[in-house]
Amino acid sequence: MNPTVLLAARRSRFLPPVRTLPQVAEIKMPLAGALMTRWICSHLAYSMLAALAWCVTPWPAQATPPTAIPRDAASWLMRIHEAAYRRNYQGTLTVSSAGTVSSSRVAHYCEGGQQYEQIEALDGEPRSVLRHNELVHTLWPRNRLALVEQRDPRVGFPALPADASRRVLESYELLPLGQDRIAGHEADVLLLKARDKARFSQRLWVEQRTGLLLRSDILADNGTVLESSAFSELRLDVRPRSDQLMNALRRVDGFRVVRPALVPTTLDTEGWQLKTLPTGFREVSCARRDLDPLAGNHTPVVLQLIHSDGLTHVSMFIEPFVPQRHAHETSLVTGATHTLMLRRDDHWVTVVGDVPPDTLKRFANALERRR
Amino acid sequence: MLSESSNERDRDLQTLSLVCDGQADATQVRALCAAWRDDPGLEEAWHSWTLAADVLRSDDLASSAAHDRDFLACFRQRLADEPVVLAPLAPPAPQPEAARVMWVANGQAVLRPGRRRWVAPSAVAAGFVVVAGVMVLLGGVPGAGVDNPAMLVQAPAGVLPAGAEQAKRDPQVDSYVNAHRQFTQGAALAAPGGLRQVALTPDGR
Repeated sequence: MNPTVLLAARRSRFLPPVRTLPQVAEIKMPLAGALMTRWICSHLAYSMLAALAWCVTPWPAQATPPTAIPRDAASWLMRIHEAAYRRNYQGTLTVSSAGTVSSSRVAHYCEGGQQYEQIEALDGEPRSVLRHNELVHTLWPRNRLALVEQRDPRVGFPALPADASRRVLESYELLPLGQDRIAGHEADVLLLKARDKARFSQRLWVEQRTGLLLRSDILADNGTVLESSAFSELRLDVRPRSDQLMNALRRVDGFRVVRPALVPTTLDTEGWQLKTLPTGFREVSCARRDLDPLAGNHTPVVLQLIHSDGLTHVSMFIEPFVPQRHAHETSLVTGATHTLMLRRDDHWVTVVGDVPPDTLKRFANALERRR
Repeated sequence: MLSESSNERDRDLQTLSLVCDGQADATQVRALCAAWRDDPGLEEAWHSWTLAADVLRSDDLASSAAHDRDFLACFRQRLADEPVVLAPLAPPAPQPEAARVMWVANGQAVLRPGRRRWVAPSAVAAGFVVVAGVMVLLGGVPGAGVDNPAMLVQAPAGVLPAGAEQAKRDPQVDSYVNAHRQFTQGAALAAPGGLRQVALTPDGR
């Protein structure tokens, strides 16, 4: 039989209906196994097609070869993580949250093991973010203001720490949903389905050739999209322009440079302890810091404790109770981000995270003053 | 008696004619409105005259008298079914600067008193999509004054996010949210899920 006809027949037999993305609420557990089987079959077919394409069509000179398509969930996460670090790309990223939409031009380069990023906001106040490894400059040119921060590489996604893949899968189940197309790129769609109600599910669109994350949605329990961020345009395997970025990073003459103070500490040292927390959350950072570095001497110093389940984070801020500032105990929501503020004796506790409000309550209830 | 009634009717029709031409004063309009309640013939006359004028302009404008009434009834019903866009205000915290936006996830917006205050619920359906008009007055930057123009944002008329207790936002809370995002984002920013972590203005709003 003609090989082309054979491949076409296999593809039509194995591939799931194209671009049908079920909502979270629609996914039932018995269906997951069938989906997985069908999805693996589809990728076998894709692998064969890719192998054939590899034989007949050479890659462009500057393009990097595709990474292997993973067979298990942990490998998927590591592939996304690797792509976010190693790929050179430029594009436009659009963020939709709480009824607002904003766009930014972004560029990411990896050169000689060094990480470079440049982000230009396209809406509202002109601002740009320049990153070289963990050093992040946020610049507001109109106000000649520069915020210089040292980011913590241990937290964040897709900046996954070494064991994060395993930890993520303790709290989330990874399910393939099919294929889709984002910003002109073919993508595999994955669902990180929360294993309990203590966190939100996330839906990820992963570029098929490289593993780069093209879109991520945060989903409520009923499948409603709470927040979404996606590339609307993307060029992969661009030539790195790290020299330009570094030049811009050094050009802060005439800017007022603000460096936020951050003093690492421990909860025990500060006289606090935590009882039982929601499953899967572990402490990743504890520090005393200025709440709003740009406010100068007026900003309060707070204790910030960060917990992560490998994918999402919860921050607890603890500070002395000040009646003028801390008027009302309250619970607020913006997009997927919930905030809980309450008084605990002589202290004011604020819990923030992209998790359901009940999870924040459990964090707040777990906090105790050591006698 | 009949003559008096006939005179009144003629007078009302004359007033109606003035209203059609835009020449009636406030007293005449008030009198006509009072007569309109009791005399269904006035509505019929109004429709006949306006219909004649409309048809002279275009055949497409021809319609029965019931058409407008049905449309208005339907419009009122749809407005009544719309979710409330502006909610009652919370007791304001001390706020030296002007009014700030408070945002919500489910399409509701709350405005706090400040330099400007929108009191009346101004939920006007445009194509029956909820549009929340939100005044954004960004706070002062250290060393500089910044005022951003108002912007209209289309809010989704969706359901409340799971577990949401209150759907409002306080500017004072934003500093905590920004601090959370700055220090939980980690290193990678230029990727989906990363950019929302970046503060929008120098004062983090």
